[in-house]
Amino acid sequence: MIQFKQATKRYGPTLALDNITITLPENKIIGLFGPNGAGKSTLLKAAAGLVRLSSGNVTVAGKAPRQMRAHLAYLPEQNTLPFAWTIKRAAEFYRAFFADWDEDRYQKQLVMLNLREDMKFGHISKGQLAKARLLLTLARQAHCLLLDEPFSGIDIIARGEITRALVYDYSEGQQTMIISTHEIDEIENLVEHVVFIDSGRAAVFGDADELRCQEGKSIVTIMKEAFRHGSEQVEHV
Amino acid sequence: MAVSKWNMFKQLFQKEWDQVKTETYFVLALALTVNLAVVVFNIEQVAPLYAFVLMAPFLVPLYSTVQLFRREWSEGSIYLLLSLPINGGPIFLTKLLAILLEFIVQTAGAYGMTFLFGYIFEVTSRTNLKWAWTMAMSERGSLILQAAVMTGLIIIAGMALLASTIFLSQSLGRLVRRYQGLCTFVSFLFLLWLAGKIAVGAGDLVFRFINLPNIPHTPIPQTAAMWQTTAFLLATEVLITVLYLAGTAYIYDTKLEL
Repeated sequence: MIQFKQATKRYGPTLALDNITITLPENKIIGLFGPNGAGKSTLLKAAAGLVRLSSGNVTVAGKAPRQMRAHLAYLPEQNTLPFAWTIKRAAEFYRAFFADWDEDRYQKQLVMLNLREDMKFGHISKGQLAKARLLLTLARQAHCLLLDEPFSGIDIIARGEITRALVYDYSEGQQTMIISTHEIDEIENLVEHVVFIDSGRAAVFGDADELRCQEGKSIVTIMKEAFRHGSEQVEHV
Repeated sequence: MAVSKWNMFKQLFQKEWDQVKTETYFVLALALTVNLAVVVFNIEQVAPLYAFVLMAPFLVPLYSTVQLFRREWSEGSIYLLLSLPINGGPIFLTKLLAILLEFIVQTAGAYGMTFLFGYIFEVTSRTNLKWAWTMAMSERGSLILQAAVMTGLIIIAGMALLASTIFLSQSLGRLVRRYQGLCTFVSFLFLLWLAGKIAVGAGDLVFRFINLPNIPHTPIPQTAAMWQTTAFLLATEVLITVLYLAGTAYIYDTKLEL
């Protein structure tokens, strides 16, 4: 369970998170939605312990995120691996640090994502790079997966592969997966819980099915309406 | 899958070595090229060329130190490091060890190659080297060799001190959002000044309790006096390096964010 209590993050004059108080349930696939610059990445970084909140706090399973790094698999939007490395070298590196590395899962995902171990990060396409980074994240049986814009800049075919990879090895009832994206269509059918962020605030959050039933609309439509009405209408289903 | 601290350390070191090995090969290639060029083209004005080759092992590791930290941010691998279940201590220690290895390999390679080429192709150098070897085997030569070892140790520790100063000043520079370069540069100058103050302070403290001998007039054997002074200098350099490295790790663990 990830809890944000009055979480506020400022970058100079910019307010990235504005007094957010939400609880993200355990063992679910959670969609973190919102337009560009809404504060989704900052929220994920805070959950991963990569930013320090200006005020308030965040806990993962009751502990500070930095204490939970061995159990968190964070996939940032940008590349994080040295360009000179191959996928094999990166896997070797991850294997050394994370006890939850699953070799079987790694080998299966490697085939599924159409990647080869000898591919160098500096020499592959953007789509392949995104898939390779996702591979290294999904090869872990981490309790909590934090995926920041996994579809950013990826063509439609690679998007399909990524979506399939996300669900293929997801350990239902054992893993929490938070996917931050502004491209809701890609994962609307995957998510069980949703959080809409706008201007650093949680505009709407709750169970995805309940939201759909209550509003009688798709998640995409609900989000569009939520942002049209502005973030003053904070709603919790 | 079990993880071991040793394997983590090894992987971190290998990551850092991967980053600096290009510069290492560059200096070795430069030394080889210059030495070959001098022999093949029979160049007479060799001093500027050799100055370049023999200075490179001291300057290039400093450039590598700056790049080692800067690349983490420019390539985004800082995200990877900050996501690992370890603190800043081993991260910066492995960076420092990679820089020291780079320095030692470059120095040994560039100087070794130059001496070797001199020995093989230059009759004068060969005579001089033979003379140096005979000297080294004599009683006075042993003293010279020991002095060379002491100087080498002090230089290696000095490189460690400079590298840790660069790491700490870069970490301090990252704490501000604007004028990071200026802040890093000012921090670097300040930390060098502080290192000087710490060294003088440590010297005063030591001299208060231990009477270090004046080497030329020492009543005890000259080498022992030299080793005492070397040990003091080394201890001071290592102390400041450890302090600065601990400061860097502290900033990394408690202040740095993305």
